[in-house]
Amino acid sequence: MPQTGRYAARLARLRQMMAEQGLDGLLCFGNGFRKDYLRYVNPAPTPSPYGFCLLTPQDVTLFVEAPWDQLPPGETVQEVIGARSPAEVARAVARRARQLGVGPRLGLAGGEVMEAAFYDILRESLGAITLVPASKAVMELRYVKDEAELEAIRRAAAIADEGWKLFVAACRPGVPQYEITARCEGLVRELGAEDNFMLMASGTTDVYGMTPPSSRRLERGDNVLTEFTPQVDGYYAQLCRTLTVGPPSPEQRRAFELFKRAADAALALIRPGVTAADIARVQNDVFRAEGYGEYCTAQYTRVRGHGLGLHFDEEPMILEEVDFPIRAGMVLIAHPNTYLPLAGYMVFGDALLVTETGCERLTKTERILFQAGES
Amino acid sequence: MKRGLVEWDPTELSREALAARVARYQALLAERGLDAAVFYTSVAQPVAVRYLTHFLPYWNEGVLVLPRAGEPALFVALSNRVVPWIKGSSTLREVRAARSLAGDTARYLQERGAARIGLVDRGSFPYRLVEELRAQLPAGAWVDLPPLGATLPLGQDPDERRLRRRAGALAIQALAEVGATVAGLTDCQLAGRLERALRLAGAEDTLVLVGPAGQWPGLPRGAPLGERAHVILQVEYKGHWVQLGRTLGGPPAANGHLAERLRTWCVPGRRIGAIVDAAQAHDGTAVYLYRSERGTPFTALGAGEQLAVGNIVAVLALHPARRALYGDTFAVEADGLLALS
Repeated sequence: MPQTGRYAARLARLRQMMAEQGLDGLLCFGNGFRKDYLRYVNPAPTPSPYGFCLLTPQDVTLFVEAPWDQLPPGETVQEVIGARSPAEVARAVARRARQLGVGPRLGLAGGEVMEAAFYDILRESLGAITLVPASKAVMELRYVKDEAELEAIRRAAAIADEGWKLFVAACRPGVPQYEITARCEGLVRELGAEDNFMLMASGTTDVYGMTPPSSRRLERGDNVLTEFTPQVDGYYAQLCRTLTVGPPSPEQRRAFELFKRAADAALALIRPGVTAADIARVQNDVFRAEGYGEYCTAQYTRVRGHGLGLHFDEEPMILEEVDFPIRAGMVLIAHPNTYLPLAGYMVFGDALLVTETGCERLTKTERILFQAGES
Repeated sequence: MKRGLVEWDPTELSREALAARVARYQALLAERGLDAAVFYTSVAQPVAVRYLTHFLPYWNEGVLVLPRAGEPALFVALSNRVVPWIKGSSTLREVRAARSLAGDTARYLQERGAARIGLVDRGSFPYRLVEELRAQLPAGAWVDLPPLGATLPLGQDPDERRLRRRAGALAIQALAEVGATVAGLTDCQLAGRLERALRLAGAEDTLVLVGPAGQWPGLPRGAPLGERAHVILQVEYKGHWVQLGRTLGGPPAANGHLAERLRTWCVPGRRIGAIVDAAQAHDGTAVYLYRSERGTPFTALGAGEQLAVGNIVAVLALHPARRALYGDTFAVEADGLLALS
């Protein structure tokens, strides 16, 4: 069936990829861990704890647990099939694939998180059809965002900016961490975010990273840091910022100045053709030049940024060993987040759209060390 | 996702209680002649490892190795920097940030001479992890073991009941705080108010579905609500989930009727298919039942399964014509359903 509408180009790209890879169909899977591949083909959110989308050269069928089959699917989907248990849903997928004559090569995207229970049923029930790993091929299409995707990410970025304002207002001495995130979660939901990946930390040189919020109460002199990652229409944007409770100490100022220089260096560098390694290196070089090279290692930090899209931690990882060329239309965050002995762990970064000549900052929050707690 | 208060409070659930669970499972391993058991945990499949150790992955995944004797060890796809948090929020003392879950787990088992290893609830593992684990150790090493909930009576001890009731109380309290008036709100606004109330009260995680009356609610999309709306709330407190379904903005009698009928249909020992059929035949009520003590927080019960005494079940019932939705979480007792909220 010919596809029209704003997802027509996406489906056409997927079908072209299928032809190039010799795939007779594409099965996209998602569960409570990750639904990004499922969401790429079925753009509507589903409360079903798992789901499958079967894309053939002709049409798209969505399989979810009942009663969620009664909710409207994405406009890409021609038919929704529901069943009452995980095993029945998996069998329905196989039955449909056989009925449609799909085969013998059925691509599987999102299979990395597929439970063995599903995989066993599919393998047994698909008959002569073989499941072929296809996540990489689909991810290749996902790197560069189209207009609909960028619109969703821009809305998510705007929600992150609003969330940060509330975060700053909520950070006062004596307030427990979880109360701050609770208020922020409520706000971003009200503003239309489907989800929000948010970790935080508070303290000084005792802080080595972010975790879910604790009952620790903020103290004057703390750094408080968070990454806001709202999801809109399936797409995530991310904002990383740090504040101090009360005026910053000289060490906090000095540390933040390094984070800002590192992030600014990334912003100045990012354009099509540079690699993920280049972006990581230019950030790390700022710390190395100041004698803090040790704090650019895995003992103190994870990545210097990552892609953003249907997953909040999307490829490419911004690391010195990742030789991945950056392309126009990609969305990523460059963040030099790490521990420094000056003032502990700090975070700083913005969601960025790679343009033909550089990059555009999608989150608009001021790039400063914020100060809170002086009501 | 887990962005609420993920902490371990030993006054709520003692170290001794958690150690007793581990010891009980280790006794089962000894009975079966197994050297160790391997469990999977992820943000979507946290129940078994949480039950044994109180560890909850706020994202990503891990593997727990429980030897027949001695302390469990966790291999997790999280940074080393998170290890202190993991140790502080669980009973675990051996935690390793794994470069390869399968490789590191297999090496650990080999170093300790484990020859027969139980793979607990193999179906809950990602299939690629199963394949990787199998490739690392001799073919005869692995023995499939049933889900933890099929081996230990999950959900039934007094600690679990108390914590699950606490989750239920949070849900009821949040609904009371937002009130029964929904007209003039969007689904996002209602969801945001519920989410804020739940997380301020200490919920670890929550999922809020909202929609117009007479239909199954979905994830909020910014749609205005009319006079009456349906809400489904899933709430987690310290690893214990409840699911509630309510109709807001309507006369309470509609929900009361459904609640009453559910108790009539959900007779212990009855097949799920028979319960569903009885509700449908009675007046067109659609009923769905879930187990909540194994695997994911809520696992749908198939038509051939039974409503067994000892189960913790969540039930959802929708009567489209009456525009009524009701749901709750129950312990199945010999004389019927005991609501846990």
